[in-house]
Amino acid sequence: MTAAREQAGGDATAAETAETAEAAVPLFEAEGLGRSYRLPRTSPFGPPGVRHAVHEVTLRLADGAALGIVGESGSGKSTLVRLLLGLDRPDAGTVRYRGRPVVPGRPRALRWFRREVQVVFQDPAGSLDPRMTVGAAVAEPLACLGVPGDHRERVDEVLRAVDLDPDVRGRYPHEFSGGQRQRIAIARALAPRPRVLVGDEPVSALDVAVRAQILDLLGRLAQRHRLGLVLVSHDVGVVARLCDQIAVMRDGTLVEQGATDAVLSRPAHPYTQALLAAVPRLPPP
Amino acid sequence: MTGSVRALARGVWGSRSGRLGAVLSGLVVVAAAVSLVWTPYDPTRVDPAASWAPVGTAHWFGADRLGRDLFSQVLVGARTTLAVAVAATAIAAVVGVGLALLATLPPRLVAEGVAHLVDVLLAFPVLLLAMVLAAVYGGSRWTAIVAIGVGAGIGLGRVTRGEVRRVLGADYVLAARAAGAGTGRIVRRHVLPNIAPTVWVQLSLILGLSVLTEAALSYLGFGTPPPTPSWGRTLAELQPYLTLRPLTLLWPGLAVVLTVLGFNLLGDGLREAGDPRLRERAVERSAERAGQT
Amino acid sequence: MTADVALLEVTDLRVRFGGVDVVDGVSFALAAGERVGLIGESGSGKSLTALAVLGLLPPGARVTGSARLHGRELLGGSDRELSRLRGRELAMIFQEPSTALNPLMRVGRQISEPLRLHRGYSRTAAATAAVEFAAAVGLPDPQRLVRSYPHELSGGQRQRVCIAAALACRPALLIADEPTTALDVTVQAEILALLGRLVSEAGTALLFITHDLAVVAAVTRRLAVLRHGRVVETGATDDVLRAPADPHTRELLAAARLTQWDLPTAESAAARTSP
Repeated sequence: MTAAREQAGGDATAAETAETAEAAVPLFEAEGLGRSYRLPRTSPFGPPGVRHAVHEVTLRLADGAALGIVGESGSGKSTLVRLLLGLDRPDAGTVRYRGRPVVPGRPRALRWFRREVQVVFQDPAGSLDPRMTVGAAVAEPLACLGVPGDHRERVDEVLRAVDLDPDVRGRYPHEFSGGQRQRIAIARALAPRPRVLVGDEPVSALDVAVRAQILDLLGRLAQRHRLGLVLVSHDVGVVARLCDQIAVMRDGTLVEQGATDAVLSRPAHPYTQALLAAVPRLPPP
Repeated sequence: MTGSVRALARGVWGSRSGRLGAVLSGLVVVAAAVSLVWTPYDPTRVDPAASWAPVGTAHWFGADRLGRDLFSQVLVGARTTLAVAVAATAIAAVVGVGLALLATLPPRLVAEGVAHLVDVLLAFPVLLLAMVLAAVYGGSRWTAIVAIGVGAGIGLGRVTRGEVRRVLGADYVLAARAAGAGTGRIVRRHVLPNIAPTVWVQLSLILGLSVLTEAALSYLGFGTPPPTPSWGRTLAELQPYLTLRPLTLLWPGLAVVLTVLGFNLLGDGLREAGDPRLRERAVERSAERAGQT
Repeated sequence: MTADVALLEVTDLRVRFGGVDVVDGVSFALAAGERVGLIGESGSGKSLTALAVLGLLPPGARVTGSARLHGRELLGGSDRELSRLRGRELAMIFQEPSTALNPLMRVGRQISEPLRLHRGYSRTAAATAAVEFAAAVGLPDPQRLVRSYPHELSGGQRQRVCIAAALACRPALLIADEPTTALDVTVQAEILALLGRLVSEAGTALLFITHDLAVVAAVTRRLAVLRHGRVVETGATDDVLRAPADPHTRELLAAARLTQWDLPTAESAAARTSP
């Protein structure tokens, strides 16, 4: 684990010196990322407590690669997602995309970033506005990002890409099952032709069989469009299924990261070992 | 946009309460409109011969002590009441939703300041506001409109603030932000449609309440000045004869009650019709009903 | 699925909701001390089956069929009879330990409530028992913990409290409805181990309801797979998970295997793309 960290640090300085060389700049990276929240004071005169939701997190994603971030509740993975997406401002460190810093601020200023990095959230029931038709929801990123022209054709195209009939355009989210809603959310994320898809627990609210279908769909889409994936999940199995790189998060820090096969077969950190041992297993067929 | 308005209207008509509300509210609007072109008598014309005229063909609702025709008074009063209620509710909507947004969207310090201000203002009674306004500008229809509108708007702001916060915390707002939506778009496309059901219900209550408050203010002399008839003033003028001629008070009283009821039912219907989930259920229900008959 | 002396015997259970049979003729039996899994996806009717046995179905549900505990019919019994059984003979733990506990009542009282209700414990005896039970379910510092409120506990600790309350009267049957679904994996492993140990110590039978095949493999000996309110497959857990007979079970199992990273299936190796 320490080796991985050192290597990451070394790479970062190398990237700074050779920023003009396109190949040396990773597609998407976070460096020394930190975010803390103030807790209520425990005594009237004492200093307020501080909780480090994310602490010194360094990550990188190569073009077309798939990175999984595994953590249990309270590990800070949701905060990390917000930081990576430029939805929350870090207290320390930076997020860079193609070497350019992603700084939260006016939506217009981040358009270049949002065109390339889109997100799928956990609960498809919650991430779709109940009062917006499917067509309007899928077209939303296009409208927000100022993509010119009639979006209808693109909406039909992405709905077909997620195996939905384009005729569902005029219907409302509540008319669909959980799996179908997640397909709609994926279609929305695909609409502006992103390079990277961030999934925040994208299959956690789904039944096993549907979960397998959605994972399958994500894998196919990533392969076909050469999409980079950042997949955040509490489920090691989900990450193992889709990602070639894995990072294990606990109490706001990354305790271990590396190639998925290596980490899963030879976990180095005690927490990773405990986590893997706790996953209930099926008997072999 | 016109399509969605039509769908909304169809939805209101589809629900039982919405239909009854629409009929009752429509009745008030028709009464107000008719009074513009025709009333049986001049509502302010004094006719000693008709003093306490009974209900009959000459005077449909009877006449008061001065012989003024009560049916004409109720008709013209509908105009005053409707104008005050609608204008006050419109002010309340703007003030309420505006305050709710101001108490949630700006940076924390400003938002919390507004929220606390709302809490303080909430303690300030509408009646007192009307009295202050009446003392400065004189009692008029506008005094009532502004007092009711601002007073109810502050209450609405308090209730709506929680709703706005709920919507802003929803995952679909986060998803919209991640899709690149700015504050304006989030307010227009996500917040307003999703707080609409609560706001509609509140506004229908405010509409009903402002009918009552207008009546109360006019009764106390802070609202519509004589001789313009309003339901509240008519009631106020008849009140001394409550024990002698109780039937005369029935008409303006009934007008107030049915109007308030109509507006509230209309609000229920609007809430149902504005929600795609509830709308579907209403359509199913009416289809079931059609199937049974 | 028949046992010689059935503790719980459910025969042709039907639950009807608004004209639809959500549970459509379910039959199974449990012997004393036995652990049986009820497996199914959301909407398969597995939770309603459990609620029907406990007589806790929401109003508007129509139940037919039979569910016998020690040969005594549970369905259609009066609410008073049933509430005498619930907590004493029958206990249940739920998916959300946070909503299953009363937020305004101290944890200790919630653990010992069934003892006072069914066993007539005095206030002091119940308080002592609460501390004992809190210690038995592995809660830290039980003396102090029994005086805290549910919101001061973690999710795993809250589920431990629910288990303690459910087992306080040594019921003959414990129904656990997705008891670990809301918990982290590491906590889930602890709770499953605890549950397994306690029911075998007390000789309590366990009806374990879950959507998770791997979890059911860890806890139960026999299982029944539900789909659309019907039992599509029953058998010994190991046999069913190794060689499922029903196509739906096979499909579920294949889906669950996809995320078991070290099972050597050709399909899963091919699916992972490494550029």
